[in-house]
Amino acid sequence: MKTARAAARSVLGVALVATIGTGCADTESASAKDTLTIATANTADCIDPAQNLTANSSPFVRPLVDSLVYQDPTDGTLHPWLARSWSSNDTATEFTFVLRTDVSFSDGTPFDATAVKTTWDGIVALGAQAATANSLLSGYLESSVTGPDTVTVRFAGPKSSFVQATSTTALAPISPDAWQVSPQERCAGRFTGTGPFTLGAIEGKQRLSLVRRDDYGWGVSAWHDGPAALRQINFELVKEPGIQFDALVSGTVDAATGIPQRQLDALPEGDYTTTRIQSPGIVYTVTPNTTRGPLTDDAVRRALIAATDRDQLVSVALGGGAPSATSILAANTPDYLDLHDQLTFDQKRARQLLDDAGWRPGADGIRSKGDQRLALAVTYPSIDQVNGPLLELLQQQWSQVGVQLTLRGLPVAELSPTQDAGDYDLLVFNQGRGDPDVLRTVFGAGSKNRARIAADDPLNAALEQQAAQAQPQERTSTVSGIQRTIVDRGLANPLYETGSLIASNPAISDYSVDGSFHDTNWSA
Amino acid sequence: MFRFLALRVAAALATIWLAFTAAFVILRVLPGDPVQIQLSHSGADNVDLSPQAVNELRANLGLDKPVLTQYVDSGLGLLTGDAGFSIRSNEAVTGIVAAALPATLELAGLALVLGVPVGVLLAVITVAVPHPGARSVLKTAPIVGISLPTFLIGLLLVHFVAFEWRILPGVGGRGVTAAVLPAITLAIPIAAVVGQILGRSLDAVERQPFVRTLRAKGLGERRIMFAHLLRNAALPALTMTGMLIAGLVSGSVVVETVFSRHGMGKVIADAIVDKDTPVALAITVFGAILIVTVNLVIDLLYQLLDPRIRWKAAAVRPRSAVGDDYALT
Repeated sequence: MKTARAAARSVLGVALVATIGTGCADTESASAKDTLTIATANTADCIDPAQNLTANSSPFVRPLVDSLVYQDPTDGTLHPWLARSWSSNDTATEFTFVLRTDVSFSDGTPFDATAVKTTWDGIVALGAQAATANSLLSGYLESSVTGPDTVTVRFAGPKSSFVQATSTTALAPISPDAWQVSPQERCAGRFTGTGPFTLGAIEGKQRLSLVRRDDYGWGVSAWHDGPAALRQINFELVKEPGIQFDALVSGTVDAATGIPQRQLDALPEGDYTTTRIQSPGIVYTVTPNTTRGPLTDDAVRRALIAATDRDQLVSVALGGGAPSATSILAANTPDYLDLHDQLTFDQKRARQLLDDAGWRPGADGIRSKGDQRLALAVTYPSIDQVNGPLLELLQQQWSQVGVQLTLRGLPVAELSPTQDAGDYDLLVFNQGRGDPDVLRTVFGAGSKNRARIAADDPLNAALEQQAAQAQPQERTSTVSGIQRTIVDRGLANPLYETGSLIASNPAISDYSVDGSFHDTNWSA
Repeated sequence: MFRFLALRVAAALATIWLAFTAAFVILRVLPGDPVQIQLSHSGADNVDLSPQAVNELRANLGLDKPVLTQYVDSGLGLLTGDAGFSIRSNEAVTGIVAAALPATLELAGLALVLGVPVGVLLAVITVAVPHPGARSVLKTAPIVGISLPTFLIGLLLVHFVAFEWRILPGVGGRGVTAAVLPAITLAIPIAAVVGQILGRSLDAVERQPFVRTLRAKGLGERRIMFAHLLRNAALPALTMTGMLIAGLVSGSVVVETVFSRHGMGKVIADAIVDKDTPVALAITVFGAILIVTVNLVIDLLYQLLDPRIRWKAAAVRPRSAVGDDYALT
């Protein structure tokens, strides 16, 4: 009896020592010099590039798949990747891609034109299950394989944005074998791409690992040659920013993707490096419903732009963690036009505009015209804890020129129907997309039409026109005009450029801005 | 005995059915279309998507059928073990539950193993300590434990034990070691609640005449405590433990978030927010089954612990009436 108890005690002791030992071992392996451990708030619910609606911003998907075309994340220019070259017809309804012939999927299947066709046909068959991918392929008629390395895709209407669309993870080719299994299985990771990494494991939805593909040799010219520098990337799925912060500071993880700037400022200088990944597309914007109350008045809308102090919004509400907007498009979107002169903070001009339009301050400081008060409500998702305080600050800024702003936070469930019904004065949103065609999908009368413009509005004609312009110079000029019109007429009040902030160990060099992690490495 | 069991099982089935119906109705009444919620969550709010494609998706998920048909379909599906697919992630619901359940069971089991004995010990010491000052200090301990919010305990533990001192993993740990800190976080309120309730009933039982008789017979204090007091005072604490078990499996979302664990709490919280009806219904039914099973087991344990409760009587006598016997004040 006595010995049994002693034995039990020693077993317990050994177990305790062993558990503590493994605890330490875990943290040690994280800092091995060819492995990177990253804390991220992303979920791994579905990692199929086509079905994952936010695949482009998902850190696990981009390293697994290559695209036909590479978009430089800093300036939005397009470069060859799996496609050596591409061309389109004059009406931008037909696109031909000439593909590399030395590429294989990580399951060994050679990559060819048929694989591209299989992927795109498969996406179209998925319907709204692959919402983002399908919107990029909207109007898709067919892909035809005209040679082992040539694929031609035809659309029902003009689609000048399509080449950029092929640079997204959503349209990245996956192995034909993957289309034999169910969409659910692909979600769980049963697919292979041609990317520099392959899926190691998804464990209990708490962590996910990517392993280097040693025979990778078709990276874009901006990268170093050959396979990726890192052998393995471990993602720890950590939702809570405070825990990410603790994990980073203690060295449990090497990088974290969800810590707000304000918290990072608490760390001593030099303890970490920050990398900002800027989202191209429409910046975080307040958009008026031009059919409602005072917002039908151009002067009011322009005055709101002048009454907005973007730099203060960014520095106070976001802790300086994002650049102020200088156009409706983010600066790294192709055909971006710098309009910062039209977006300067000028309360005098705002008051002048409102005075001239007949909006006079009342006893409570709020302006009115006739029996109409200059009182507006901004509709936003109530769960948005980042932009809530920012909108409160905007409320104060606008009240200084006599505009009353109320915050109307709606649960996510009610947001979409409210937006689509046009039941709002002002709406806030941003929309990522590396092509100016995003202006058409958001502002076009035939699309989401967030500013509620009329179908015969000249802006609408311009939005349709750019989609049909196959000539880059012509399109640039049209898109510039569109941006100018939107800001001049106050159809949107751009606030700041969205993106994500990564804090990492200073020994990590080239933290991947394009998401591929190909060049990311530990400095010697 | 057989009649008692049959009645209890029938009541249990009715409870499960009611829980399923209530969850179905609530998810229906909540505003919003699950497919739209999914699209806006994923930033696909402003993308070009034909209404036809959205309707097709809705049809695939069976959301275009009449409400009653959906109710019957999902009920029958759950009966046959086919819980359908998640609207949020398109995964099989059984797979989602299977992925989250082991982590939750591990955590709940460990929390109970740590919490209940500590609570019992606390109650016993409180009653046994002769010094009145020490006794009143011990009496307030459970109240402190109950008042401490779990997220605070969790954050403190993560910060100090995991990241400052690096004794146990806070994030990224594997196996049982990763469950220790969250289990301690959950065990503190469990110990507090058990300690509080058991302490009070021990107090009440100790003042009963039979204890005086036992002392007069010359029985030792230890014998009185473990053979008589505890057995008589255990019923309310037992009931409470049953409720805690049910709560542990469905409601540890705060601890799961703080410790970055993927468990049932997170799954159900996400499912409700996203109106992911198949997942929410499956977990509701699972939770209901668990609760009625635990209750059934506890009712059976009552019979063992307290011979005054007869099988026949138990079937008609509500548990609250049993509690009255002890004049818990």
